[in-house]
Amino acid sequence: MESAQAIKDTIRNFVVAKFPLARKRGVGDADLLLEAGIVDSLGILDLVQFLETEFGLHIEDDELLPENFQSIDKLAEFVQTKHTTA
Amino acid sequence: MKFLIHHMLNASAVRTPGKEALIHGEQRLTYQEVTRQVSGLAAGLKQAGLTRGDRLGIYLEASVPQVISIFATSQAAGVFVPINALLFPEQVAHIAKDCEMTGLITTTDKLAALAGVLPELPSLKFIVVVQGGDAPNITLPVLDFAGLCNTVPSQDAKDVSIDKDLAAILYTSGSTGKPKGVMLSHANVVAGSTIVSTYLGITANERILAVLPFSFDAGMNQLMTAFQQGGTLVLINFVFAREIVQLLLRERITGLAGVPTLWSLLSQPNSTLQRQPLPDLRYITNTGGAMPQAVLKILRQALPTTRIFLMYGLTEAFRSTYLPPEELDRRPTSMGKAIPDTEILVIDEHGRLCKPGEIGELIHRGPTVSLGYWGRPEDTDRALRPNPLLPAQMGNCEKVCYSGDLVKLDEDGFLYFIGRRDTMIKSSGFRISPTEVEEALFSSGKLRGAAVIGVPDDALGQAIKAFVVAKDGAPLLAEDLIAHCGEKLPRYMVPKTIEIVEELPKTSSGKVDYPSLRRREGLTG
Repeated sequence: MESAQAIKDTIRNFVVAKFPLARKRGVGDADLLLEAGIVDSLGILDLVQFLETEFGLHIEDDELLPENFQSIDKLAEFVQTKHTTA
Repeated sequence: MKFLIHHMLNASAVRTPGKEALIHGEQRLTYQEVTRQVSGLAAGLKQAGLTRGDRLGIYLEASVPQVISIFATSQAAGVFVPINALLFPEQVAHIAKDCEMTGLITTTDKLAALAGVLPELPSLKFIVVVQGGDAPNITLPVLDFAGLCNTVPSQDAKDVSIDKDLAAILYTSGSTGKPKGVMLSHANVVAGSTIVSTYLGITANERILAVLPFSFDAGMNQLMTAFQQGGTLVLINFVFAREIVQLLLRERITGLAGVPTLWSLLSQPNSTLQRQPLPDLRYITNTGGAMPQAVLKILRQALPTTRIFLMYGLTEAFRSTYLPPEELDRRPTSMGKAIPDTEILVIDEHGRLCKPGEIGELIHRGPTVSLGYWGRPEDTDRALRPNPLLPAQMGNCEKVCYSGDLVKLDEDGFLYFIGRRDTMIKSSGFRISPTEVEEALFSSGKLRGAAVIGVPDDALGQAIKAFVVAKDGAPLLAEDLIAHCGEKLPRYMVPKTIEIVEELPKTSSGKVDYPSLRRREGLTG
């Protein structure tokens, strides 16, 4: 399994490449992605698709929660939890 | 007689004062409470200096104050200009400048973001802020929204407006330049509400979830129909599609209007919509672009008891056609027929009526034809023209709306969308002018050429694709340009893909050859 740091780096690279505001303003691992308007409802779809293909996960609708998606830290935690429970 | 926008609200408040009118999160307001705040704010706005016909900008997220502001402006004989909360200060400034706005209702945070552009807006006399907190230090008077709502209206406050008066300006894009303000009269808005209520069968039992912004004609119409019929309107700010499904269930929503992007979100394979029966949901409507057939199929399976209305409208004529749900099996790709009290003509380039199967421009006649574009008489004359089919004896007594949309009829008189006459792009329900996106690209200072087209996209209807040429062959990264656009433009206007090319194809007159770019993407010119 990938290390926590590697997961975080992969997610950060994707967020920076995909979301123009993240690239422009810079984004820290704990920064709020949803409230800052960096990721919107369509962006969530892109994120879900990325996480599913990159980490081989299947994400259920009831896991689409602000808690799991609000920052790069939280996204990485979510991916790790999914890996250990899978 | 109910001929002004706020009359619709006031009549419902007289019929059912204690009924729930407006819900947002924990806030639940009865009709009586809504009219109390509307009357207070209307009086407060007049005291602040709003006079008949003055334009008032409403730059707020979906919220109770947003709804109150719309009706209060109408009651104060002003003109409301709803501004999409996604817009950036630069775009808000364009709207405020264009319509010479007298006042603006917004939040403290948004006002702080706008502080830099306020000096460019000399027409502004006052600002109203909704949430507490410290307003930035600006020279204009900053008034408190809640305080204004508590203004005691004077007893002899009478309506001076008539239904021909301008009630609202909705900003929308065309094929070139910056957004234009479509002028709607009270008569347009009241007629749109009556017509749509009729064919959707909206009654006082309706509980409508408003997902679309009120800066968009179909979104505003949901608010109008709900209040006209004495129903209940529920507001939402959402990020996850499941929040919509949860609210549909919790608030026992009966009606939901959306654009194709919303339906794509809701019909994702993992969406709760497909596992969660929604017996109360009586109807859904789609507008702002064609519903993808795959999405329509999923929705029909997931919502077996819900009636699905496919609708079409353009802001310049408010609402135009709908496909009755009974016709979905036979003609799932049709835009339907004219809405009640409206006639849709399909006219060829010689001004003659098209036969079934022939492609022509959709022309709309009826009570929802707008008053044209604010401050743009030439654009207005292009979009609104004399009815070509009236006998000469009638003169130019009627203006009809030339949509710019190419359509054809089948043998039974149902309409089918073919494409645009111009280069306008429609993405996630928004109209986008290619030139506005190109300008943003050029402002990076790195380009010699830029051309923007719409390409088909399952979730967005059309996605924005840009072709760019670097200045002097300088190194260029598509990601950097996308990031640059992200700073200049609201998200829905940022190109999804950028292709760096050596040269743009040109026509013999030296202009960018857009049809050739579209053919390159496998699209018909």
